[in-house]
Amino acid sequence: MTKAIEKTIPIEKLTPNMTLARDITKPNGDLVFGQKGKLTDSIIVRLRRFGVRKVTVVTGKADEYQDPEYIEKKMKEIEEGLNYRFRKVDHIPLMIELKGILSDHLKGKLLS
Amino acid sequence: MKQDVLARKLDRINDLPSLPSVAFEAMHLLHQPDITIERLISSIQLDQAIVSKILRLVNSAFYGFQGKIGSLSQALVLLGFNTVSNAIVSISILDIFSGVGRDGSFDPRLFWLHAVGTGVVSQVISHQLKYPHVENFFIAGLLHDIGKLAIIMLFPEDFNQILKEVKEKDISIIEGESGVLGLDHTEIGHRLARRWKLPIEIQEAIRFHHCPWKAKENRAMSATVYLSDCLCRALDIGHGGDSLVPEIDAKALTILGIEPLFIAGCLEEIDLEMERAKSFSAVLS
Repeated sequence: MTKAIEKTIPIEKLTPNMTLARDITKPNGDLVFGQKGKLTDSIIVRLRRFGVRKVTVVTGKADEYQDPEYIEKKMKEIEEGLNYRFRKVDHIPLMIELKGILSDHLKGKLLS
Repeated sequence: MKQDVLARKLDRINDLPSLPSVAFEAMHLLHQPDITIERLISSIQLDQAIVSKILRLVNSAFYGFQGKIGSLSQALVLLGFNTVSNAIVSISILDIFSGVGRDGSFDPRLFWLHAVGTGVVSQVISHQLKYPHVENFFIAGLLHDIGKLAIIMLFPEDFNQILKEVKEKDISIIEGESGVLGLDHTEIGHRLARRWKLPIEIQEAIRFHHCPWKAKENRAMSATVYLSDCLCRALDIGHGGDSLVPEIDAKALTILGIEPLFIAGCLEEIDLEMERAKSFSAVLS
């Protein structure tokens, strides 16, 4: 079993496969992003935009290999499903953002 | 539709069964000094079918004590009063609706999956926001759509027409209900919750889970259920009667004091809790 090691790194070095060691909070203590949240490229961009400078991460294991054709098919299904369910709200900025967050999460789950 | 016709339709709620007294006592125990835990346990034990369902539920993976709880008293010690009380209320209410949908008009399994999902997501959000009594958020999410079940039981032909219109016109179920019945599941569910004397904050969450900014008693609970319902629809957890994700009003996020990014931080926990909640759904269905 891999022993968890915590490390504080600048946000620029944060990558999607990393796992947060603790919640990211505002200076007043309000929660911005929970520790159990899955990091994706767009989440990292959003965290940077939010003004986060440093984060504490734990080391993790590499993703297992999966059949690329299967992954591609499933990715397409995820995208089509979201497009269908969001069909009446896909012009609203907040809903576009939410759809992006869910898409990242569902696709990230497939790869992990 | 005329007001007296609508009022008569709402009065049909009285045709539905009363909430079993054990559920009522369980809910109000904390506020009624004349009801003791001993009295509650002895009244529940008169109904062995309920006892057996409660024990199945508290022994499910959802509560983390698989197969270790042998009696209601033990459940109270291990899980605490609030959790057992909520289990009693859930089982009692769901028992009332146990036959709904058996004619094939709708899929009760998907309905309950959506209900349990909304409960789970409400609990995760309230937990992350460190609200007290997260179990009550679960119950509010679980029961938010009971008005739909009341419609199916009281107005089965109207319900079939609602489903037809939802499909043909690509509208939401709440729009279909208003068009066909002149009432929707939030009004009907609220009337039922009032009749059953559910806690006011849960009555409000049922009434305002499409417009939480109108709630007065516990606006955060209504907003949590509103957001959770939308997220379950977006994540395709169960089925709420139509396939549409509604627009999330930024006012709801303001009530909770969160940014969209907060939602991303809840998704892993939602996945984990939904896995555990499968056992909860299995006991209910």
